[in-house]
Amino acid sequence: MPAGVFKETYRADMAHLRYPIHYAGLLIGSVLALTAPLYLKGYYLDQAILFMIFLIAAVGLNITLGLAGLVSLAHAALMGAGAYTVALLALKAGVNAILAIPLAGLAAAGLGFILSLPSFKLKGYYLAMASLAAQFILEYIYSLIAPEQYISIPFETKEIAGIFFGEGIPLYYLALAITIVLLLAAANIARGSLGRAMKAVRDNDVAAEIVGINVTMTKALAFTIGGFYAGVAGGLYALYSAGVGWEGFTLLVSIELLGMVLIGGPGRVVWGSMLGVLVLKTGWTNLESSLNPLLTGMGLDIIASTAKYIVLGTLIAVFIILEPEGLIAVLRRIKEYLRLWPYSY
Amino acid sequence: MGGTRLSYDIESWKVDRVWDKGDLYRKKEYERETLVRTEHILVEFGGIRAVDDVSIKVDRGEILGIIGPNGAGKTSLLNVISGFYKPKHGKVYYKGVDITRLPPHLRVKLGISRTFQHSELFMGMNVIENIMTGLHPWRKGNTLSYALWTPGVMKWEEWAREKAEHVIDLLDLHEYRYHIVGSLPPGVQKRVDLARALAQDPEVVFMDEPMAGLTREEKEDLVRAIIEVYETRGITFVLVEHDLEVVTDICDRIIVMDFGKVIAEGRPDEVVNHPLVVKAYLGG
Repeated sequence: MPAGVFKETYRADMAHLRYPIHYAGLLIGSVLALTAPLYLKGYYLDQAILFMIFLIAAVGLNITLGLAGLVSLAHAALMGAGAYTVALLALKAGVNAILAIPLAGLAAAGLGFILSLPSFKLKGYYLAMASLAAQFILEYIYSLIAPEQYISIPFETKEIAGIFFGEGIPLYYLALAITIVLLLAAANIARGSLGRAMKAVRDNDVAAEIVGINVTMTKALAFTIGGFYAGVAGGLYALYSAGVGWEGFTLLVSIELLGMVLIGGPGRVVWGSMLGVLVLKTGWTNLESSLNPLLTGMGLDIIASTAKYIVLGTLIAVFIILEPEGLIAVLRRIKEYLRLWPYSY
Repeated sequence: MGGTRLSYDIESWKVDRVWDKGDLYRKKEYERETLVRTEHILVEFGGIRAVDDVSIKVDRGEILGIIGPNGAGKTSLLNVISGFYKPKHGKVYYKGVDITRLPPHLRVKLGISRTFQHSELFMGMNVIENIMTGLHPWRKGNTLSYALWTPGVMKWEEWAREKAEHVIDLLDLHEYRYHIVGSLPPGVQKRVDLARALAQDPEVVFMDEPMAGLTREEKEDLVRAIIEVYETRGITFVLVEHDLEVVTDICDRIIVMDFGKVIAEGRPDEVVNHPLVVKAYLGG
């Protein structure tokens, strides 16, 4: 009698859900996500919404950086493109902000494609510098759109059938639906031929070209898809925020997103990104809110305001040196240990 | 330009036509057709002629060896044929069609595959993923259909997986199927490299120094694999190689290069005793 889990078809071997624990995880995750508004109120529900917004953006960056190996320091600027698309369409043309979110994705995807152009010739640090330049240029453009004020999205454009999607439970479920669709799509891209082509370009672009992959197109696609995700995240962020301003999409946010991908697990588009956002966004925000009053009380205001970036920088450096595969690799090792326990191998 | 193999679909794979082709070659009931032909190829690097006016041809169904001392221009010639270098002068023809300006990824679709001297594999992926990556040029569906994982994409992925498993069987790579390629020994990496090329169902495979850095046992394994594939699937091989023993053992014809030029060509027994070849190798 065979011991263990055996798959009899290639379809079963390539499926998202392959082991009983996957089904159990899906069931528990679904119940938790669907019932979250029952036990998360106010601030914590907002945290859940922000988690999903940043998760979508991080998944996009994980496709560009983790799968295709293309360093982008302009991901926050792409989010900004999405946010400004929604805000301007709602304000100037009266377009419903919710319906404008796909357009935000498309606008940022177009911008992502433009950002991919330097990657046809540049790699590594040089590409990072090109994206850094793009980040600053876009930040400047955003500051020109509304120099000294936020763009407020009219409340009525955040409604569909009388339901206000600008906050609370309706926004939570809207973000949840978009997140599930986009996460599934990202997982599908990663497990298929497109994902393998991106990984091939990341691992060895010369060999990728020789085995028949159009490297230029694959790089452009990775940036474009990443841009689409960033745009949708930005669109949702615009819906969530009272107003859209360029301060929300600065280089620091780009680095934060980079940290989420590098710490979570580059190349593991869904679970890696999820861990990264959980640690750096949700985890840190909650830690900060409890630590800051304490530090301020001790007269350490300077540390309170800069601690985040000190920790972020340290974590990125530590993970790049000690665990380049991110937290997901640590979890995988723990899982293997538990699977084999009490034996060591 | 494409020929019949471009109608690369799942049904045609199921009838296993490549095996029939192998039988056909073994019986020698075919007319030799020139697959690849180069005409007066010239490649220069900073004034140094790496390949100097080289015209060669590769016939269907042969194992051709290209040998020569270090710096003879063998790999540069191979890079021109696979499209990685653009020659300063000269033409490359595939089945009579000029492909000199065709990008590398499109040459693969025509049936020209290659392996590398230092296994240029995708080190972060496992063996199956590496082999399936070789099938990317034939993928069906666009980005949206991959994101939605449509039935067409599912069917193609299953076909690609089946094809990868087929080559894994052929080259006896079962035990390494899920191993990350970067962690495998050089001999196995060379076999994975060959497997990736073979999965593309090529008409001709160019192998760049396949025996380099291998132990005697690993060389024997690889030679066995090449001969088996040659005999069963009728694929034409071009071996760019240093190891004279291997080349003289398995090649039908040998081309010798030195200082970017072809200095001798013919059957192995003729070539190894050729005075210019002896001079090039022994410096005498």
